[in-house]
Amino acid sequence: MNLKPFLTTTLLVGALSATPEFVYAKTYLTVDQAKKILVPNVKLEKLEIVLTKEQQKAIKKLSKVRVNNDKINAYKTSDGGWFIIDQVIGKHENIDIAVSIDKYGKVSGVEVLTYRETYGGEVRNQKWLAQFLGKDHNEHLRLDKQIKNISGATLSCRHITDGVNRLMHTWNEVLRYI
Amino acid sequence: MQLAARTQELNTISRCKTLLGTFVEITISGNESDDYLIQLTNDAFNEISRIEKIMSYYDDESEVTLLNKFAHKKDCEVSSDLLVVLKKALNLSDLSNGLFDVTIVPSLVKQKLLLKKYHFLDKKSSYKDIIIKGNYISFNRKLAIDLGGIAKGYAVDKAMSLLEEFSDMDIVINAGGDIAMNNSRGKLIDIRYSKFGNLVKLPMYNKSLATSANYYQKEGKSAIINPKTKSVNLSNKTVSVFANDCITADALTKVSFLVENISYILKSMSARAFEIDDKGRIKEIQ
Repeated sequence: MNLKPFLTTTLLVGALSATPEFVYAKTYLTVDQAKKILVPNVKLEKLEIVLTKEQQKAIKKLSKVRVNNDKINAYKTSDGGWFIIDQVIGKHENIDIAVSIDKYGKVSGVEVLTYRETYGGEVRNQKWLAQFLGKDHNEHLRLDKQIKNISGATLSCRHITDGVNRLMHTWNEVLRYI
Repeated sequence: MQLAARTQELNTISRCKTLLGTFVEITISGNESDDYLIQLTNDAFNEISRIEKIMSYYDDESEVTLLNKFAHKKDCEVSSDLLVVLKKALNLSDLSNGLFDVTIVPSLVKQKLLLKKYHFLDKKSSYKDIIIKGNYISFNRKLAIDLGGIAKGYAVDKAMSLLEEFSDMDIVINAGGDIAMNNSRGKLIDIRYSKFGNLVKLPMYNKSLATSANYYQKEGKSAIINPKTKSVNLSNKTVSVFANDCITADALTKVSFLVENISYILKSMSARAFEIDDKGRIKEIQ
């Protein structure tokens, strides 16, 4: 399993509150690897985009998904598309995803970068979650790529679908004009 | 220790994508470049995506939708993939005396586990109303099928079969708990048995493993339904099945919840099933 993310997460939780019943994290691709897969052979320009209150409201209305973060961790590609690192928050899950959108606003790929599961209440704390966003992805490279193989009942990926839908509307409302 | 040393030398790519309505992980370790391993994972994900397009209940273009719309009116030609899955499903329906049945769509809709797409389905319909003639399928009554209990396993098998020739690599495909490994010997697996994520370890007894349980369902809901009584199985146990292929393991987990004496089915399919209770106690089902 990914020892470092596990320890990092556990220690942070321990510092903030009583240890929860269960915490684990899985890391898959680094941001650089996700770039190679989703937007190969194009130049990327990192842009600092902050959504206004009105834009957040419009995106929420159209996608029916709450906008948790006003900052978008986005890269514009040299062919007019976008590469976005985003975070999706479920009841107990907290998942970092990379999404590529082409110049017509069509989602061309989605990769899960990091999956964390927590029981103990912290997952609802936005500040606690925000500290993970955009961090560590490149550090995961080669640290420990052994993924713990867990067999369990099927977990729905509905939150990801909602998150991707929110990003499509973010493109339609904001990114397409940049 | 030898295995650990060998694994460290190998390059590994682990990816996770959302397919088949769940999280699909593919991990490949081999003495190859990132680019090469990524290409192999791409091929495997594309294959899973292809199977999803055929078997999806929701996709209006899928073959399953085509059958659900028209098979009660006319013979519908289907792909060899759908034929394999339907034949396997019907075989299991026969063996389990109807306790595995892909026609329980109305019960799944009632449980809000599927959206209602079809009206006026015949309440008397069962798997016996599905007729296969060559490459053609027809339904004797107006019914709808959902392959949610079996298609995931098949998709994993197909993706693994694409990668089978790379026997010098370690390949693991995990589609929402349906796991296939090309080199399963000596490997351990974690099985989740509670909504809090508690895990127990089991040896990987065969190349494929599937697990079913109710802990992700809302209280009072379950995808495990007795097709005859329409009663919902609310057991808090977890069932894991090891088999030669994932399609068998996937389908047998559901049957294991409902069939009293399942040993003859398990034996006939060279499978082993384990029950884990909410305290993490493991018992082989015999």
